[in-house]
Amino acid sequence: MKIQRLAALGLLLGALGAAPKDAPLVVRVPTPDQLVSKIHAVDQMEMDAGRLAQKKGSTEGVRRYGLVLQRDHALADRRVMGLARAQGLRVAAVPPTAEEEAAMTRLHHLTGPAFDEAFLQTMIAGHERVLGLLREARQDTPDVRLGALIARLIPILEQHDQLAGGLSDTLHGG
Amino acid sequence: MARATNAAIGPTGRPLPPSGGIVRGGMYSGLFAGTVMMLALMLAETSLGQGFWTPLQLIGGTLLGLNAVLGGFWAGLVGAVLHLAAAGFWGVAFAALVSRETTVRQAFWSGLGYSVAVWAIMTYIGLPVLDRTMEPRVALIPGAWFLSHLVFGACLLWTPTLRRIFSVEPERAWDAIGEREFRIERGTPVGVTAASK
Repeated sequence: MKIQRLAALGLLLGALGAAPKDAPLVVRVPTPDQLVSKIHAVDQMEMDAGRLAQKKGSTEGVRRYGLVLQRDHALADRRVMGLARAQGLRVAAVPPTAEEEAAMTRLHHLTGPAFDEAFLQTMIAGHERVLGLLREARQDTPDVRLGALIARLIPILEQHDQLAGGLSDTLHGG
Repeated sequence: MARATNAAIGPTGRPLPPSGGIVRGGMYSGLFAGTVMMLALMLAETSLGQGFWTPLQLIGGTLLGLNAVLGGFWAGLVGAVLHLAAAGFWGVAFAALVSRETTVRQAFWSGLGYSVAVWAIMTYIGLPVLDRTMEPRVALIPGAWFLSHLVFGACLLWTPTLRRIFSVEPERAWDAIGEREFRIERGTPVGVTAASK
């Protein structure tokens, strides 16, 4: 049973591009269940990150960006969970990758401008990774309604990415 | 070549110009409807976990671009001005489509139909062209966005009344609110307008 669960997790992470490079990629296209689970997990993580930025951000811009993240991902998550309910999709808990966990731990320990800098860099990298995943999933997913929802989410994530880049430039006096 | 038709007669007994009250009546009607619409959208956004001022700030994105998302007083103010300007414009356009003789009930239903057209134009042309910041967020709240436009259309029901008010002399304007003070004479030739006062 435990082996089955591990195998399932391996498939999920492999499909989502989080598995090590040498791991066999058994499933190329994530199933709708896997996709909504991953998007839900990303939303939860971004909401946590947004709350953290509102608390620890040293500039108004970073604090406001945190609020935008929290609100946008809360709304996106509502839509994702609504679709999952309507389509009968199973939303499973997807644990954060080691890299994501390390980044969040690091952010919790930083303060002041160092936090701002690290937070924005984490957001840029994180959003670019998720955008890559969603763009691919949008093309590949057989679920039309899920594909349409992903198409609606992508421009918002692109805006988050651009905002983080703009704020990072401002921090550097750009 | 005067053709027999209906003509509106103001409280002073003078015929009113056919286009009377379109601009001012439509503008005030649009401003009122736009204000109610925005309040409805703000309440809907708040109930969905967004900020109360978020819709105005997003409209501010038309001029301020993506930074409007980060909010702030100025983004909200710019958004409010732009929204009211647009509402006034749509109000004037509606006033040009309905006559002063239209009843409140007819104006209500016409306003609802009109608001669906406004919604379609704003959703498929206005936002993609003018406000790419707001567009993806509206796509996540399609129901609230559509309903807020219906609220706008429903609130245009006073447009014919306001057209009547602003068709007549300012000192008698408020008398025109009552239907008794404002009568329609059938068969009055076109051409008997304000110029003949």
